[in-house]
Amino acid sequence: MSSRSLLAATFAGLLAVPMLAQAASCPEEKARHVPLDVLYGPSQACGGFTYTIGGVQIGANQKGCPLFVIVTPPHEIAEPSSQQTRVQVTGTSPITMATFTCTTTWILFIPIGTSCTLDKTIQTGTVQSLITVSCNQPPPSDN
Amino acid sequence: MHAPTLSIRRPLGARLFPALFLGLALGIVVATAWLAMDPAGRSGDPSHSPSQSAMQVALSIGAQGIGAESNTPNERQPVPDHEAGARPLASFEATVEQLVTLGMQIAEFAQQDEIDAAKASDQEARRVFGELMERFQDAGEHGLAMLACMQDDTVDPRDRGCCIVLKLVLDTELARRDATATAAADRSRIDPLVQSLLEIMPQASAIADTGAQVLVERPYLRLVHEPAVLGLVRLAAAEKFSREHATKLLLTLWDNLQKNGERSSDELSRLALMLLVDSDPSQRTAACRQLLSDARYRDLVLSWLRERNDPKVTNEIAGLAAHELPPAEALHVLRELATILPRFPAPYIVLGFRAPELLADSYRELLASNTQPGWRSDLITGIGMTKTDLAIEIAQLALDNDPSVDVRIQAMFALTSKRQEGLAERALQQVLDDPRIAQDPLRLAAVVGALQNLEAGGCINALDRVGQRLRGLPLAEWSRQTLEAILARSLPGGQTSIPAALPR
Repeated sequence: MSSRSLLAATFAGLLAVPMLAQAASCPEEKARHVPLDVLYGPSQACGGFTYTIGGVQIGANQKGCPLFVIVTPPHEIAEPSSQQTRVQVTGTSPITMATFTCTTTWILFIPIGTSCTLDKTIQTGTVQSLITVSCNQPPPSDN
Repeated sequence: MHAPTLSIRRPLGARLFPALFLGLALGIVVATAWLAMDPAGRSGDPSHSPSQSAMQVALSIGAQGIGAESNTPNERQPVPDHEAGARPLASFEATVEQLVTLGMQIAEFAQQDEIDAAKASDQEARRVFGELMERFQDAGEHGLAMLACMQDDTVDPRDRGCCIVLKLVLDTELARRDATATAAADRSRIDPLVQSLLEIMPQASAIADTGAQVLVERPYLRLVHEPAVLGLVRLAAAEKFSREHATKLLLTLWDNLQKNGERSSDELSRLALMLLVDSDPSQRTAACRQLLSDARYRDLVLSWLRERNDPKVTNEIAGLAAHELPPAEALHVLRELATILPRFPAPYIVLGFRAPELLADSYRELLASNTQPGWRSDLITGIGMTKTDLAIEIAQLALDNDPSVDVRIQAMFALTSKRQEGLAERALQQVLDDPRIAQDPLRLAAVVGALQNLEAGGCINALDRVGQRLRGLPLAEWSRQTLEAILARSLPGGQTSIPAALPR
């Protein structure tokens, strides 16, 4: 090998080291969207109801009065990617659980009026909003 | 010579008879016309037809005789109403309107806490409803005719009341026809009623809602209704009918087919296998539910779901499993689905209400082996949101002992949800004592989220103390905004009692 070839190989090697290091540290992930989910709990016999929880209108079509409704807002999850990408958190949203009670169980025959009433809303956890960014981009600062 | 003329003279009576008959007929006509003009006469009553009145008058005259009529002075006499006690019965529609009025009265009395008046009206409503159903053996058809007139753009609150009453009518009618059909092995009265209801359901959402309320999870849908239900599924695909209703009707139909032996479990499973690849969401959901309930096909469905890798479908099936499968099998399905959706706590909450002990035992086992922290976290959510002593016990166990930060954060959510100020504050301070949480802006965002449970519970003092501490921690910008908004809503001027230290 000539001295010129050796020099070229050394130079290429020096360039490749940081690239390999970056590939090793890149998680190769991308953000995947998970749509809004509204899950109704078991029903109790009661009148109709309509409420808006976390900007989502729930009620009316369900049979009776649910013991609770869990609203998981639209969010993202990380999943493997074939690209040199990673996910970056841009915010969090609460998972909300609303519990209901049937306040006038003794009047059930013609349940006009709302007798299925909101008891309380609880934050049961959080989900994250993610975006996919290139691993070549510097990670964001915490604040 | 003249031919002899034959002259036959009839007797006098025979000659007078046609004249008498004509006179009698004329008298009837005149009397009828006179009575018809009488404003106090029976013909003014809309419940009696003119022909009935004329007939009654003619009979009355006939009974008195012609001579009697001629001797009667020509002036009107008050006629006693022998049917005064029997008022004409109200029509079906009028009775429904009466029930709507009663229902609105009940709601008004209840809102004003006039409980005795509300209960009295409720009893009256029950009585009127009972009479209605007794008088009208075709109440179902009458109800459908009224329901078919419902429109979506109405703002009249009576229309909603009318839907509620008609739902009661259809509920009761279907139940009594089903009982008769079962006893006589003859469904000729119930099946057409159900068919008609299915046919009018797409006309308006108010009709669809009422129809779904009386048909979903009830035994009335049979094999004969399959084309109509599939028609609604097709309309849902074209966004002309509620997807939720279409799916639930199809699920109900399949349940009934199996229960009534109209299709065997094997036949339904084979059908489900074919429909599993169907692009229609309702048929796909019905297929998944059918196959999941059959242990032989459960792994096949799970494999199909993993291959499909669709979070929306996975969420839907997880919810169905949590609601309907035996708890242990539901837990197995949820565990398998975790490979598609790493975190989806909502179905665990449903399962937690059904079988908290099962979830608690599973959590204890996993904690002992320190495996699957993601699953442990979902289990804590499922147990922690129940209204049981076990909820606090297991959440506290996790907060004190679980090595996973994410599980501890989930335990914090469970403990703050109980609206017990001391318990909630201790949980929040405990997680903030963990440097892995206190120095991580993403995990601190979850702590700020849990602070909303203190706000909702009116735990002002705890909010003040935890708020002070959080202000001094390295929050992400969006978390800091959320924190300040909570404090501004809860504390005067959003000020904590002691100013916060600077962020580290």
